[in-house]
Amino acid sequence: MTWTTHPPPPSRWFAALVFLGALATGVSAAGVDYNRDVRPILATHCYACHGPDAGQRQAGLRLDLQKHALAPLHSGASAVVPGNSAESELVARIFSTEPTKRMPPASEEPLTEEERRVLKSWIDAGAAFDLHWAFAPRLRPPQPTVHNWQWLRNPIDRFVLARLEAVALAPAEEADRVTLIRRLSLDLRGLPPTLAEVDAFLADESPHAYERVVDHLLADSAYGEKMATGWLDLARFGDTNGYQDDGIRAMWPYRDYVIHAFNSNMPFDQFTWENIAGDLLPNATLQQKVASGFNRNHRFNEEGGSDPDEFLVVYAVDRTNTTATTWLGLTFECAQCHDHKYDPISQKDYYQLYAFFNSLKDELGVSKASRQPPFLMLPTREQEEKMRQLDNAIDETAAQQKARANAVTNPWERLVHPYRIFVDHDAWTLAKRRWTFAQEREQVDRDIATTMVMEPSVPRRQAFVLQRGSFQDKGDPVSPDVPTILPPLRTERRDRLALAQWLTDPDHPLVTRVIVNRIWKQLFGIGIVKTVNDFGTRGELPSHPALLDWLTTEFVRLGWNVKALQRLLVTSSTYRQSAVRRSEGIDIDPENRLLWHAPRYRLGAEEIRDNALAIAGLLSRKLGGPSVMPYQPAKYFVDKSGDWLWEPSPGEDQYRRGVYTFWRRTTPYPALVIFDAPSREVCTAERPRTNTPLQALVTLNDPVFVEAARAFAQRVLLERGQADPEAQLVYAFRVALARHPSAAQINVLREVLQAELAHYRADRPAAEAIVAHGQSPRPPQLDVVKLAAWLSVTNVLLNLDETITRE
Amino acid sequence: MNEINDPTRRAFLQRTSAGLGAAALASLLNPRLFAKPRPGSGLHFAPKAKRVIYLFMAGGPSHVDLWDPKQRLAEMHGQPLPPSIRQNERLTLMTRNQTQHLCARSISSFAPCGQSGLVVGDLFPHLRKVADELCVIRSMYTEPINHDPAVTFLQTGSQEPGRPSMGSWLTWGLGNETDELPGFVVLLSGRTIQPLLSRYWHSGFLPGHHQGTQFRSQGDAVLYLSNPKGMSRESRGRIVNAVNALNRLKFDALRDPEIQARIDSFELAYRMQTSVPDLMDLSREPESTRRLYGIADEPQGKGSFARNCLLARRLLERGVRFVQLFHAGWDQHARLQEKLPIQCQQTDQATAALIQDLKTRGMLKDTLIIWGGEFGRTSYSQGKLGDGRDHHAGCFTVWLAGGGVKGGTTYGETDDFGYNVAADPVHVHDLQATILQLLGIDHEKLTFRFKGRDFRLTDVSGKVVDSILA
Repeated sequence: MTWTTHPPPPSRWFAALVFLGALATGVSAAGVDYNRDVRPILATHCYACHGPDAGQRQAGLRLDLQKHALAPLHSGASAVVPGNSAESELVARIFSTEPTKRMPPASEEPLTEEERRVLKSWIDAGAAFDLHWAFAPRLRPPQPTVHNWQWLRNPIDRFVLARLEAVALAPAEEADRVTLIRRLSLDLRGLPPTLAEVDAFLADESPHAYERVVDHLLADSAYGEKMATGWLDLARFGDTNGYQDDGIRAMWPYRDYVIHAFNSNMPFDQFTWENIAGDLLPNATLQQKVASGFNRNHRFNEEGGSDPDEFLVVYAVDRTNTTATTWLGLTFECAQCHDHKYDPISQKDYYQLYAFFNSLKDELGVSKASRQPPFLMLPTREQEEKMRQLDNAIDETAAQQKARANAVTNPWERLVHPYRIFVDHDAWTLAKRRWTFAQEREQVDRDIATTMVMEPSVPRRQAFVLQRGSFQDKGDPVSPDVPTILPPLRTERRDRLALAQWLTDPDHPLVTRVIVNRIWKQLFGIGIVKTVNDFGTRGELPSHPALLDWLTTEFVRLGWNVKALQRLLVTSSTYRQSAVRRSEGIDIDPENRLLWHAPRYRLGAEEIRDNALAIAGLLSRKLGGPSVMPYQPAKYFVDKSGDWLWEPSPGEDQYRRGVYTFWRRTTPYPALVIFDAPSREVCTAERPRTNTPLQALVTLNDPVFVEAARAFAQRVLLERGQADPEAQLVYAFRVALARHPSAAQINVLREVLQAELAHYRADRPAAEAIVAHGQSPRPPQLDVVKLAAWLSVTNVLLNLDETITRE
Repeated sequence: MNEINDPTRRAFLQRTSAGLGAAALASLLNPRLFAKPRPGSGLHFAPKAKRVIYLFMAGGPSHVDLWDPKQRLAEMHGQPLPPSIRQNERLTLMTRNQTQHLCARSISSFAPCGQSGLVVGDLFPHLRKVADELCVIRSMYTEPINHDPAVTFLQTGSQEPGRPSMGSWLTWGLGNETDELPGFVVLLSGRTIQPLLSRYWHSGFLPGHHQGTQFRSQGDAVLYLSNPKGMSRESRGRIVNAVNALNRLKFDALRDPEIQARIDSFELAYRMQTSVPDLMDLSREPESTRRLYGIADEPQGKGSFARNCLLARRLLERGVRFVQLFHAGWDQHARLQEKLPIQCQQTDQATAALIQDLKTRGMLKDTLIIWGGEFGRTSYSQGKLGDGRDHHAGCFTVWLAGGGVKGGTTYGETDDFGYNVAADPVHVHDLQATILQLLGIDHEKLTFRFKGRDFRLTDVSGKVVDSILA
């Protein structure tokens, strides 16, 4: 038994679309729907030569727009004649048996019988064209009626249940309370619940016990850290410059800004303005300027011999692509070298968006400087005080020098004035003192944290359409503007602030769909639109389009309130289902796109670390500050880049959450990468979730996890020192997994404990060695043999599938 | 290794599990975690080669000093490179503002070698002995002029990060022939100021387990392979058994096939703890083999190109699909006369040994060996005459050997100065297309849809160089 790692062949791809399409409307495919049935065929088989890309267009035929598809061709015929497939050249061509006439040409993937039939019936039924769903205006859809109304908790459930009832599939029963609090805790703050939290929830008999837990978790500062992780992938946040020299940069103030913004529940429209144009906001605060660093997180080239002009273009391109992926969910980058092949985005559209981002004050294309303008200085209070003192001292000394100079009255002394310093002892002392102060002042200056920000250059740098994307091949000049397929700017201003406000216009068709879908995915594992980074014509159709649009209107109605939206999602019956899957559901919807059970999936890279440290009682809850360096295998860099300083952080900083791990982009922290964390060299909208032996080696052997196992063992022995082994095992199990173990599970753990006790009794040096791992203190009163044996038990618990899985 | 959300697999497992106990199910499925064998079939054509060793010479080896002799360059030594030759070729900022670009003669002498008479420079005395196996492409050219984008371009077909590397494409397309080791292994050697970036062997948007696994020369060969100090193999065995026993209980309750995959991952991890050190232990190779590669006197555990060559052979023997060696240090901006011979000395004997060894074992006929860097070097001097050479994208040399290529031949020509391609140009995408072809893959058909676009290694171009195919 193996599994395919190939992309589905087109027919399967098409089948998937049809399946989703059928899901999308909840009706059988009897009537042909343009967006659901027709556009996917055209996009897959026709647009490459008869689509938006003018440069590649064949025979002057364009099929993505009604006007063009219906227009007469050179031959006089029209590709599409509504209501008359017999007169339509398109139909003639796809059914033609002549190799030279038949479409698609023989070199391309042929249409299936079914696809040809769909196109023909569509034309016979009048060839209705619709705007691609994601570009169409959002309306607040009516809530569907359902039979099993007792199941409903909020409107989300109506949309979900209506679809389930249409295929006669019942939702799963509600998960038990322990599962629910662990799920909520991992989803909302990326940490497991404490046993005290679990017990409080189990004991709370009020009807609002669940909501109380939700509110408690949303108010935890760990929430912002969890939310920041996904955003920092989009923002391609890192601690180094990312090209081959990969020098260190200080952008952590931006990371802290993001954490704080989520924790303070900043409305998402404001968050958008600050990220894109914080520097341009009226009376911008320091934090708003820091926020504009979103678009300075791209890589920066320090390689000698590189061409600055080339890289100024590369950076502006990166900002354009990142912004388009993050807010528009479009594959805008496809239009960098030519018109987009599948979506109505021209190359001019691309460079008009680019023109918002290509003009920064004093920006360098290539440089080895440790601070790249424009940047902000962020002194600490102590540093500010120190600077003030030194500035005063310098001023005072200068005044004394001046006084000393004026005090010289002797005409002969005045005569030698320029060289006086060498003969006047006081003047010499003063000069020396001033120099020393100035040196100190410079040192303070060097120590001050900086963060890169956006700041427009005046006058602005002209942008051009770059032919084939080449910086050396300038075409027509362009001004900043938004893509023509989307609503126009409502202001005359053409700066980033205008762009940011346009993105958050309540009528913008795309942005809320993209944002709400992303928030949905964080809680349900798969987006309503599965292709979270492609809402274009080649992306997947939404599984629940009405639900998505209802949620977007609700999100706007709630004032772009992220926590309120998440609260709505997690308090639904849909969210509260159990993860158990019944065979009838597997037959109908194996991928669970209809949401007939709760998803179950492996935790993210940072969460796997955080979870182990939290269970062990090692986790630091310190918020923010410079990035830290957890233990990393010795000489990890040696083969690749020689000596590069990686000093494991001392004390509390060794046990910080994964979001604070120093992100060296060319060689990222291995234990995170192995669990699918991206390098953050470019904007990443989605992480894969793999399952590999290399991951097993991390949780078994990485010193972080070995130390966590020791600390966890210590915790059990200290907190349940008097209890019998059985009770200790139950306690350990509950600390790790929140739930009570079964007798069979306890049996497995007991066997390990007994065997390991015997083993370490016979080999005390081994016990001494295994409990010596890690910087954290070891309570001297604990018996080494017992601790070592328990370390094996806790090592088991930290490696369980259930421990690293959210269910 | 699996993607978690594979609906077909899930559905299959779920259906099957209804009538089978978990243990029986486990033995029935036993997913071969790294493997997806398609023995001998190729994807689109019958393959000429089944596996690849890519010897990546990072930094940009100087083609005019190693593979592409230029009489005219010697004659013009010390004179400016004619403008008709230089044309508008983009230069790096290291020599763009240099007042003169003086022709610099090759530092080596060339001679025809073997029965074929293939010309090899004298800095490669051992490679001269296997000249009849080499197919030397002198007309390679690329686009970027800086290391990072240029290596990324050769590895992934794009200068920007985010695309899968060649090894990832190949293991994704062809699978692996072992369930004990990853299909794409990377070995590094050489020291340089230019780091080797993880991106060069990244899987981009392909599933993460197609990423190259770096086998390290120091510490654990595979990260976190060793048990922590104090933990015995027996304890580790008990722990893995307990983890899997508990995972099986969970599987029985939930029937999530992902749990089954996790069980397999842990079993394989445990086996790798012995199989990988065994693989890395070159002391088990006979003395004669170690002599052949020139490592008989090298201490165990020292990372070198020569050791990596021998490891590469051992990896291929065990069924690994794609082994890529990176040897850094070919970036001679200065003191070329002194530094280039060192690079050659570090690599020559082992490269030749690898070819001979594979041949002796009957593996050369279906193993493709690729040798080359990310670009060439200027035929004019950087700095004072005869000191160094700058990066050069306009032409460079790459050679292939083994499965499916014509040995003892050269392909393509550069001009009299080794500055421009004069005949039969081979773009980076052409080379990639040719490599895929040799492995039975149509480079236009090996595609992966990401963000709505069907991506491929050769981006939007690439033409197979038919005339070098045997």
